[in-house]
Amino acid sequence: MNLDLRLDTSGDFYAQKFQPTKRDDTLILNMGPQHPSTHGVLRILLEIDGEYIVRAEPVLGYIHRMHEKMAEVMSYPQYLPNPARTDYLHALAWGWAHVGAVERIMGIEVPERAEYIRVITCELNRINSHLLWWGAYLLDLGAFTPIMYSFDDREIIMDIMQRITGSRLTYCYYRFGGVSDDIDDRFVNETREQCARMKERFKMYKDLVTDNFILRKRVEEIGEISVQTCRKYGATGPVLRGSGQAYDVRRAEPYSVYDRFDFNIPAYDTCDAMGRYMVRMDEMQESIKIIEQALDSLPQGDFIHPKAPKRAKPPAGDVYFAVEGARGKIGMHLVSDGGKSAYRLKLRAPGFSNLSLFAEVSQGTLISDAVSILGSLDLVIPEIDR
Amino acid sequence: MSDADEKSVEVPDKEKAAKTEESPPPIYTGYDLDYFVTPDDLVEAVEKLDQADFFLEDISCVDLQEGFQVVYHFDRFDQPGRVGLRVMADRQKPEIPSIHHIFPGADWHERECFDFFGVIFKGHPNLLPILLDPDYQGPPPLLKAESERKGLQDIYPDRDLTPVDVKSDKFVSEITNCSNPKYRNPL
Repeated sequence: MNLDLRLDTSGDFYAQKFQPTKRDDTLILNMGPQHPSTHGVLRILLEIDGEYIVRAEPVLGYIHRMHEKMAEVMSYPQYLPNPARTDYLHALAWGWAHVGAVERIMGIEVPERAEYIRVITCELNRINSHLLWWGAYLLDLGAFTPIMYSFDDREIIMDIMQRITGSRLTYCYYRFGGVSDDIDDRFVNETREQCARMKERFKMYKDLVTDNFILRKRVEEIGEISVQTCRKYGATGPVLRGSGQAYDVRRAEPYSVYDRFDFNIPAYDTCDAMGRYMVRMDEMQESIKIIEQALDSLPQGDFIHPKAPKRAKPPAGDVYFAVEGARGKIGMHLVSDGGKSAYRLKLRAPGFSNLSLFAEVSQGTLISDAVSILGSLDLVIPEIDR
Repeated sequence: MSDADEKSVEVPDKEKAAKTEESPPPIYTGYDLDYFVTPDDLVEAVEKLDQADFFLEDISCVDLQEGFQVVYHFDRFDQPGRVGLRVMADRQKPEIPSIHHIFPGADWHERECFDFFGVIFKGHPNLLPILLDPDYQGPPPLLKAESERKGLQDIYPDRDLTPVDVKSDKFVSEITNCSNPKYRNPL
């Protein structure tokens, strides 16, 4: 036991590496890993001059669980629940990336009805994810009430999802070749009701928050990210679309039946936190549009392919499969040697790439603005740390 | 679960294998272009991708008998299409050049690869552990045991493994015209 109680000013491994600085009038500050605005366990080392950030460096890995090793140890069906534990807010998109990669390498067909069910549930999950982001972001900026409204809406969606998927947050609903259970009339009716309700709620959200002068002061012209910066860092999702580039995997690399639906890809070229905010607010309405179209044209048939393999054993080779998650492009690089478990599974977490541009963007901003920028990136730390 | 599902499980493996052999699956692998590149040519290839407006998706790595296969994935915003670059790093001396000066986003991906496999990226300014504990002493966690390691031939049975000539005009025109067959411009 170390009984030396003198203050250790040298810091840990990362702080020591970060320490050398040319100036003697700056201060090294740790933001996190338990800071409330970092939503979990993200730590950011800051060199500050007064209230201004001179340098910033995120430190990751506090909840690293080695999901990629687990994929090599577990068989394919055993790994099904794992992707949902990375990004717990948009669990279904991660599950989809995994089953999609296995379906692609094995050439498994997915029945049409199952594709529609996947689209409906994945979009419901996306709305849920954006709603939580919306509430939590405003909480970061000092507005307490909106998170109560957003949880009100989230509860209804989670109840709808719970009936068919069996869980409320970390869904494990997709299977190789379909989904685990069919949806029924009650699900369809409840989803329609909720879609109608959400449309009214969005109007209220706009009046209450989006048009609010205080919010706009905190987000407009804060954290400007150019498209070129996004490209250099590989940022995708609302971060990229908030910089004016309408890139969405659902349109760029259409998977499932997304090419059958009519929806817009919102993009704002203001490049600031407000742009990213508006993209997410509009995306929820686009998701509602997709869900309503899918419910209108929901085909009859199997919810899982009758010959879908339970014990997947893909042929040797490698594939890449990408889907659009709430935070951006989720990619899975699956390498198979013909065995029962993956030879290698690489998970591309959108948050990982999105966060990597923070060091550049935060330079010269106020600490309070850095909190706003971090929130506008919509970070889910388990996804970044994997 | 329905009866049909149960039945499919009982299909013997041999029969399944026979089926797949009859009709080699014409699967889309997710790669629109896929190249092997020598470590010396990597930086030049990435520069050309940068000039063609690609962005770096991620850097993946596979532990094989021949060494480490580092796979770079690139995609494009305006004209989607995925390009894969595969670089083989020697097992005894796993060194390949860093591309962080072209794509600063590669910084973290290279650190992750260093963390999990011990691949050294020459010229990286800050090659420290990123996801693992800096005090971790053991071998890189994703290294395969000697007995489990597969060769390139096992995973890519009928693939041409010769590295591409990145200086050729063919390479440049291929990446410039690369596009995803399913993409259709909504306008």
